[in-house]
Amino acid sequence: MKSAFAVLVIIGTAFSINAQDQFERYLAVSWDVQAPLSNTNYIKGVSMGGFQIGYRERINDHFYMGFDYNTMIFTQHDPRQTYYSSSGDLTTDFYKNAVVYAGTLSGEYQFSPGKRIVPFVGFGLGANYNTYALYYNIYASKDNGWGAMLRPQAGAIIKLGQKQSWGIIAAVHYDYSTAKSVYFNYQNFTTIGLRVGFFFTQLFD
Amino acid sequence: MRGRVTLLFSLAILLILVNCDPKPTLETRVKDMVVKTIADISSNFSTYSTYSLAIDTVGVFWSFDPDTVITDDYAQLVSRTVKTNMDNAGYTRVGPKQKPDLAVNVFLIRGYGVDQTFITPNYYLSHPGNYTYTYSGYGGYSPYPYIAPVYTSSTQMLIELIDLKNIDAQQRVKIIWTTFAGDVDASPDPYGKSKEAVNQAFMQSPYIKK
Repeated sequence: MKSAFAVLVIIGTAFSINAQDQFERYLAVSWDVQAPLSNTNYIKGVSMGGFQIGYRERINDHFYMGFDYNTMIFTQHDPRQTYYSSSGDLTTDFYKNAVVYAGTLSGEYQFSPGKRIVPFVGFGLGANYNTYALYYNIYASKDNGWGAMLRPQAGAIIKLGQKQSWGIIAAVHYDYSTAKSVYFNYQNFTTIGLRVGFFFTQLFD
Repeated sequence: MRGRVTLLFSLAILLILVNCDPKPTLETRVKDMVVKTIADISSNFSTYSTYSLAIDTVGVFWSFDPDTVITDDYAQLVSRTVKTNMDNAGYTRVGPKQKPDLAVNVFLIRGYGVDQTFITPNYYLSHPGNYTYTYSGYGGYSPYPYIAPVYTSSTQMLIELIDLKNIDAQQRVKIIWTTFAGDVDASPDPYGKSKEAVNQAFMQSPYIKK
């Protein structure tokens, strides 16, 4: 009970502390966890294999702009089984993967830029390139494709350190890409994700 | 400014390298053979009674060398496993001059491109199934999507049931059942896994029954 109270006090205090200065820019490197929402017949489940880098420059007191680049890899192994269809019956196991490379121009609105904890909402618009592969025995089926990407996100920046020049950044994001693959039956590529990482505000000074 | 660009570019390259195509190892993938069977759905397999089969002999199609036959332990194992399954299905083996209803051919296909042997899982991916695969072979232009062997000396086992009972006026015959199984050479146990593949082919084709 005491520890819970202490956590509440720390969080409350954090919101009430003013930062020394509002930073001009930051670089963030994050680990990204995502789950696919489209074509889950092919790949489903949470993937831990994502990374993201982001960069922001201050436009005004609340608004920052920059870009994000991220990669994500989804994998799945389907155990050996027999698939029946009118065009033939197949017994095999499948190793599937989809790899996403995405870059977006991003803007974010920070609600309390002077505080130690800074909630934000953001939006990214860009493009992505996906590769798809299906391995079975010595054979492989592959496809790839480009698409436009939209990425709304919401999260928070937690400033740490004496100068508050670095800290933790976390955000949930929804990625919608128009990238298609007729062969792999993707009409779009949509995911939901959580990224957690570090940001640095004085890396270039 | 230059330092920022260099740093960001380096990080982006690092992320690309981290997330390249995570291909599983060959050893992981070839533990069991892929078995695909295709049947002529217009055929009624119960109308056939007899078959002919070359025991202890397997034909070999080579992509570059002359075709041949093998009569070794492998041929003996595979052909006799086919015979066992045909016998268990209720058919009777007869000599080729005794007018069999079915001819059973067993081949190995060495070195041909995968598109030539049609082991494709496209139906499984909810594809309509009328897509034309284009793979122009080794060293050629291979537009996406493509299917390519990732093992240079592929060998697949082919089993055919040919209808000799309904030869048409032009003396043409119809192949009513085909099995593709592979890869034989990449398998860590080509004998055991080939026998398993033959049994699997008949198991997933319960319509082959007298």
